[in-house]
Amino acid sequence: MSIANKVRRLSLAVSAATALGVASAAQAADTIKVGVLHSLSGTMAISETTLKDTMLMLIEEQNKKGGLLGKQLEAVVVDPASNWPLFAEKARELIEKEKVSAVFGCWTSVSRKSVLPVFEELNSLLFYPVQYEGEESSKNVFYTGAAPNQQAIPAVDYLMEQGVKRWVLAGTDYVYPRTTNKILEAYLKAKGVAAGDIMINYTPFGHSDWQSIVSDIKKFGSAGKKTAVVSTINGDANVPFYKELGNQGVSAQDIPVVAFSVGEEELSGIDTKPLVGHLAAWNYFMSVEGDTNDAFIESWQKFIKNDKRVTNDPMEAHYIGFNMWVEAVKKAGTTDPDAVGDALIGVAVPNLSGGLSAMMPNHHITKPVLIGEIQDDGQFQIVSQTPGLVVGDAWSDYLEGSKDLIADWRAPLSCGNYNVKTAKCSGQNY
Amino acid sequence: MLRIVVTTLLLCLMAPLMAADIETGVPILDAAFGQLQDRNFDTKAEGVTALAASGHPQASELLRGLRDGDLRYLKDNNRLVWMRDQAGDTAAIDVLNGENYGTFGSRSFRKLAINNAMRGQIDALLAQRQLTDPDPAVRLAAVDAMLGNSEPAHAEMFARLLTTEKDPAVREAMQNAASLARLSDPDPQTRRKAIANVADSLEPVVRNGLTRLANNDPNDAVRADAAAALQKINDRAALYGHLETLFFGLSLGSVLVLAAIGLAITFGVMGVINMAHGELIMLGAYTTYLIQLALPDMTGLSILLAVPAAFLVSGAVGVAIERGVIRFLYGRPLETLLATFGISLMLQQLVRTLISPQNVPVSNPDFLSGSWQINSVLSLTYNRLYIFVFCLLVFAGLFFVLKRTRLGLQVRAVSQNRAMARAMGCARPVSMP
Repeated sequence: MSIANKVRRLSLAVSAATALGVASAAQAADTIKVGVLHSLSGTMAISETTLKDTMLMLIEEQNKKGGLLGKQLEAVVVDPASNWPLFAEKARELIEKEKVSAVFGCWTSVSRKSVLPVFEELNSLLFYPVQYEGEESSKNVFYTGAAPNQQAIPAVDYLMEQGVKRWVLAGTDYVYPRTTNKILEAYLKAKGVAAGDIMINYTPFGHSDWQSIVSDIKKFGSAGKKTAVVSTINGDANVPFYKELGNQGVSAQDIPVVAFSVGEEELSGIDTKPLVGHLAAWNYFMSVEGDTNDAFIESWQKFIKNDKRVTNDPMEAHYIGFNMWVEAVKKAGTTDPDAVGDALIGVAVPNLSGGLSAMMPNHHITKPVLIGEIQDDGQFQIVSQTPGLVVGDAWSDYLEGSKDLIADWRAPLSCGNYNVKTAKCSGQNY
Repeated sequence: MLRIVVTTLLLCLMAPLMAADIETGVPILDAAFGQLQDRNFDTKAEGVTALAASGHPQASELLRGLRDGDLRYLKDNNRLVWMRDQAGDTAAIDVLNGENYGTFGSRSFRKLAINNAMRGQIDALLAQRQLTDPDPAVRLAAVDAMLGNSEPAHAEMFARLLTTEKDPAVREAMQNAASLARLSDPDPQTRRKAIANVADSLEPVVRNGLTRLANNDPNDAVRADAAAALQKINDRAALYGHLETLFFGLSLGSVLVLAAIGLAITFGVMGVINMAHGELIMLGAYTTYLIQLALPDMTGLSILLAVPAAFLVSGAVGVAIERGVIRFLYGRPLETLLATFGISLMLQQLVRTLISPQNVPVSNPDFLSGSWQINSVLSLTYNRLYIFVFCLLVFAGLFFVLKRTRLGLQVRAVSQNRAMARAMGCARPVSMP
């Protein structure tokens, strides 16, 4: 090999490298960054990792369609490690350092409460994909999961139709179950259920010795009236709870359990044969019939390279939220948070159950409510479905102090907690 | 907003069109399954009744398939099929002519949705068909299954069946069921007699019926009888409730005893406060998990193997900790405390790294799940019973070793007076202060 040849090769390599460097720099300037704030380690990793992967898939698909405003999208993934204060730090890092246009993230209510001040201070957008207790509406947060009137209340209505007269409200001891049970208790009493027919029970995270609680439920349920359990039990504690139900022979025909935090992903590790007939209320099930859903499942299983993986409700919420954000950015022609936030209200995109979900002025969305019974293959069979879509209600109509409040982020009012009686906005942002 | 309303309307209009009719070729089945495909669960329930009344030879089999969920229909040809495992895939076998349509993905099947109320209805219908089964055990189970859906019409049916029934256990169950049905008889005297007949039963359905009579019956004497019977039943149920609490206490106590025995011995004999004791228990539990992972379809065998294996693994790690760390620290309780605390953190992280930071499941074999039904208000779960028995065995074994063997004698001597035991020649490779 001659020296000239060597020189030519070297110069080629150098110019290629420079060209690549320029290209990547140009690309970096030309991308729109999207923050993904989900725990990839710690106790919540089991649920949240799936949502991180969902976001990566949605962003990849959007890029294949040509990106957004002529630019490619770039995901910025951080790991807040199921550590609530760390959520706030990581959110600040995403907005200030990475300059993301919007953030998709959080699972537990406590993590959302932790990042809320950061989003309001730095004026950025958060899309929150999980069912929650309501009693909140922030200018900077878009709630794509269910409010209590889109999950808990319809589930209780369904059980009432099935003749249930006595209620056990069992939950894990933190803000979501406590607020939801407060709303449900007020709702049941408004429907004429006596205080003696409601039993409320709280257990710590990760509770494992269920024998006396299940036996109490059995006793409570053998008093001559049809009884049901409304479960807001979260996380790992569900496994021993359902096992003990099976052991003590509590079948869904005797005492059905309706859960708000148990979906396909949580059931994928349990033998569901003894659980057939127990219920869950969500806005989406993997078993929903429809072409949009079939296509979504197919692209998810292809993206994750595993045809056994399941889809669930919070994934659908991200699907809706991301598509809404894309539509709003197109409508506004910019990624500026204020312009996009205004453009988001009224945007309607297809959901996976065959309808259109719209963003309402209170930053909640319209969704169908589905009640499903657990099947022996870990899937849900839909047994009840609202005829139309239900509008998410930020402030519950059944709680003193919140029933007069409304949220409307459109121009003249622009308030998350406007009191219609006193005609005042409390001034708080959430 | 308008778009949403329009889409919803369109969807509602399309819904009946989307589900094509099931074609079985048998008109009476087609009609029943047409109702079963409806979205409304009342119509579906009528479909179940129609199917049961169809007199088709496969009606029972079809009802069972409907309840268990392996009766589906294929989207391609609308034939009713069984879902059957075939070498890891799902094959579709025609219900009526047994033809195999090949294997399909799970989304090519459509399921006939049923809910809890329909499941109860199907159970009762199937039970009714089994009342004349030649096997007395099946008949007994059928009578029990029918208790939940007691109807006044059942009284006559059971009375008729009793004329031919020979088996004493089945006879008793049938008499109870007939009395239960007579609780809603129009004649007050019959109701009072029925109350007297069921007053010994602890079944929840009986209590439900008596509560109803005690509160709402138009006849004073019936109300008084029902209230008295209910009081008697509640007193007995309360007694069994106390027994159950006692059992819960004992079973939870035996778990704690199993955990505490080891801690007590290491502290008593070695003078070591072992902060890693919980982690040794954890290693035993993970051993069980790993053995179950290695023997996926033999849960019963894997548990039997896991009991000695968990002892050996935890014991071996315990010996390694003693040889590697603790023997250099005898007589310095604070240091052993700190060292074992450090070991506990290391073991925790080791499991997190090697296996998973998430909880892992260990499934119960059949003989450990379910419960021992003593009567309808008292049932003892098998897993807790076994723990209690296991605890007694371990305790007896330990007692034997300590009281009856030379090793036990030495252990007791050391824990009572170390210096004297050493002077008497109890071998302890230890540097005492």
